[in-house]
Formats: sequence, structure tokens, C-alpha cells
Amino acid sequence: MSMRLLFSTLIIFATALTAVQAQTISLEPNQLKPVNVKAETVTFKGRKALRVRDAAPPELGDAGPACNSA
Amino acid sequence: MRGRLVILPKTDFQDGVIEVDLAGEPGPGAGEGARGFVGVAFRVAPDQSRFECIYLRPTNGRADDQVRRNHSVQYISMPGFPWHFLRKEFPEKYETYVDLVAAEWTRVKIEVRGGKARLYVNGVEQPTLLVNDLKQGQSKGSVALWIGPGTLAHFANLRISQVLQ
Repeated sequence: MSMRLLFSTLIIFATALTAVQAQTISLEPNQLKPVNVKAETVTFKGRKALRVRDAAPPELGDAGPACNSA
Repeated sequence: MRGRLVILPKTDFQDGVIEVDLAGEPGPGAGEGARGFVGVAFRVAPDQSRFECIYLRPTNGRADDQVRRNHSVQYISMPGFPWHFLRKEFPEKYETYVDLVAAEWTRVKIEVRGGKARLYVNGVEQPTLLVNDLKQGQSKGSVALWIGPGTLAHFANLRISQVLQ
């Protein structure tokens, strides 16, 4: 095997090993799983957005614990 | 150990890039300590018992208090590494400053590879926060939108680029 062929093969393998799959994710509430929150679709500052608000029981921290310090 | 999350069920993420526009503010009736906590969790276990998370404290971004500003960005990891533990045991290591405005759209990009994560805010070239030792180790799981106590948040334009192993 020539050095050129070997080099090309290595590049192909390296490219395959670092393949990236990019996707835009839908934020439609019926395709999501809310946990301790309420989620709904709204328009916010000119953009279609997913609004998420806290709906956790008071004893839940910030899972954490309260992240409210400073 | 379940947080306030919106799980993206179709994601199975280990390494890659997560980009999203987000805005956070204290919601109606939120406590005095609310900061509009908003961020992204990744490598979330199916029962939410484990996850990594980087979040913002938007009302700290322009606070008239340098210490609060220094707490504008936070890394946490569950279980075992809530913000108060990390702040006490590793001061300044998992928090930093970035300019933020509550209830304004902020573009966030998180790069994750192996045990490292990088946060980029509003398209800057250099990372705002470096995490070189993700606490849950090499793991895999869902991506989730994350909020903290008392937060009203908005999310849009979520894009995930995943490195295929």
C-alpha cells in the first residue's frame, strides 16, 4: 500500500470517527416531558417560544436545592 | 433527585454541542432570592437521578454588587454537586460573570466532550465558563431545558449537534 493510499485511508477513518449529527429540536409541548414545570407555546419578544414556569412542590430545592444565594 | 426540567425524550446525548436561545426572570410571586435561574441540563438519566447542568442567574448580570455579578453563571451536577457545595468547596471554580439581562433573549452554546464542557454566551469566540471535570464522569442521556425555583423562562431555536461515536 502506498503512503498516499494509507494516508487517505486514515483520513477517511478519522472523519468517520468524528461524524457529527446536527438537528433542530422541536419545542412543541406534546413532544416534551415536563418534570416539575408547566410548559406552553407562546410568542415572546417576537419569537415563537416555549414558556416554562416553576410548578414544583415547595420542598424541592434546585436539584437541586434553592439556587437563590447571591 | 428530580429538578425542574423539560426533557427532550428523543435525545441521547454524550458529546457534542447544544445551542439555544433562552430568557429567564423571576416569576410572579417568586421569592426575594429568585434570580430567574435558567439553563440546560445534559446527560440526564431516564429517571432524572443524574445530570449535568450549566445555568444562568440573569438578574445577577447587572447587579450593583460585584459578588453577585461573579455568580452570573453556574455549573452543577446531580447527585452530589449542588451549587452551594461547589461554591463552598471550590470557590470561583464553577461560577463566573457574564453580562446578562433578565427577560432578554440570550444565546447559549454548550460544548461537551468527555469530561469537559464549555459555555459560550451571545456568540462570543472565547468560552465564558470552563468545566474540566464533569462530576458524573463519562455518561450519556437526554438533553433537558432547566429552570430553578421561582423562574419564568422562555426557550427557542434549540439545536443539538451530536458527535457520533
